[in-house]
Amino acid sequence: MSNLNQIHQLINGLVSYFTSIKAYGLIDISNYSISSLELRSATIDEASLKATIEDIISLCKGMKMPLEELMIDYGRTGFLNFKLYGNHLMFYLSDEGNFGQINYFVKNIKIEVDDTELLKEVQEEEKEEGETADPKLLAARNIQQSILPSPDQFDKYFKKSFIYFKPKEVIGGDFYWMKEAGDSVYFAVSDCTGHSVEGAMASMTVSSILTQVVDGKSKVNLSLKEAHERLRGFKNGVNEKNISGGIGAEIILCCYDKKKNELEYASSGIPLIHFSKGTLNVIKTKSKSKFRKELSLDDFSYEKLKLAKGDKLCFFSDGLVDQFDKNNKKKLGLNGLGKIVESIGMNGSFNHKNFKSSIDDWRGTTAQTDDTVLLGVEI
Amino acid sequence: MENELKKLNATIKADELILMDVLQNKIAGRYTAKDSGEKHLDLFMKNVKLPSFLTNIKSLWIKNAEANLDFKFPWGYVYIKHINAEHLLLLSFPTSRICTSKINAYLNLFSPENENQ
Repeated sequence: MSNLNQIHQLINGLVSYFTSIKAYGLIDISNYSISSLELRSATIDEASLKATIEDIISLCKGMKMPLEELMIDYGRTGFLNFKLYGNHLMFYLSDEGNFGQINYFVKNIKIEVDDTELLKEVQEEEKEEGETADPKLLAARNIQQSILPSPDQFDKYFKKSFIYFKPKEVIGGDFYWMKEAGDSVYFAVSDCTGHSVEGAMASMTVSSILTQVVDGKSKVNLSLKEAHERLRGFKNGVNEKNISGGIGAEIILCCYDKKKNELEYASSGIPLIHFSKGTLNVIKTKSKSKFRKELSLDDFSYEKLKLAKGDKLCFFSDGLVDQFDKNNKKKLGLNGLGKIVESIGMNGSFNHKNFKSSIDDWRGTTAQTDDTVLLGVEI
Repeated sequence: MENELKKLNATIKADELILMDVLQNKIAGRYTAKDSGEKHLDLFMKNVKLPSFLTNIKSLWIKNAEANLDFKFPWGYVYIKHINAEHLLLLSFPTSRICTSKINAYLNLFSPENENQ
């Protein structure tokens, strides 16, 4: 992989600083093989370490859990731990002495690598677009992006998060939103009617309404109903009989309570995927709001999910499930998207890079069907 | 044996306990305190070849057969305690909070032979 040298440099820095690390190496998670192994102590038996790592890979695969979630504590003697860097998983065997310090250091390295990769990808995409797109659309993109929360804001509440955001035409009607409220965070993923300028204008309006209606106290279904009622107010110039005119939006509004580890959500048509302990649950939500003159709470899906550490959740617009494959014949569908989430969620690669790579593989050179947004979070 | 494990667990509050006969490599007893639907120990044992797995993993650091191993998973802990030369006790704890010194103090008093007395 392109950043393997960078990973090696970071790891060399880590092990030179922490002399208590007695052995370390990398596992290539694409084929679950040990790609490098370094011993720094004569007391460590290489054959035992290799056999142990292989057993652990097998154990984690069998238990359908990411290797990086496992830590083996030798009590007063030391520990064996794992950390993911891109497509490689580092393992390190260390004395117990500075367990906390090492893990803090390793965690910060990971953020640096991920941010660098993400920034590079985004810059490359923007450069490509910048060469062909209308300068007015590019300026509008900057305005639209200024209202979007940064991944760092989500990382304050979740172990990991990533955002796949790709409008069809530089700007679009899909967007994501968040508002912090103490131990809880409110966030939304929305798909507004229309693409390009039309969609982007709608998205700015819906984002503004969400900021107004979410008060940090009310249940999310009440706030979502209020948001849709306000959207119905934008009917000037639209035929009164055409209730779906004006600004239309599918929205999933969530509240994650970090203390209770509970997710409350209300949706007007945006589905979600919940991947927990090896089990994938694709949750379809109802979308009745645009067909009724008078809205009621029953028009929206509403549920509370009790979550567990390691659970992964994805919220997304229909642009992803409607995307045609590389032969331009078959749509990805909810099941196809679920398989991608299961695949990257199971092997410890639940991140933007791997999600994007899977979607790119599916789409090939086929034109993008619609605006797309997916927010992925890991508890 | 299930009764002995149940008595033991009244204090340490694990979700599941499995007593392994190491010499014969078979389960000597088990007790499930909480039917959570998640049989973590069964999955754990299904996916490793005990005791060769433990022999390898212990040989990296632990020379003393009495030492214990603690596997931290996203859903909690699998804790492996050497009871004596013949027996291993595997415990599954549901949360990330585990007080190994307290648990060890009680486990040190546990003897699989009690049932026969």
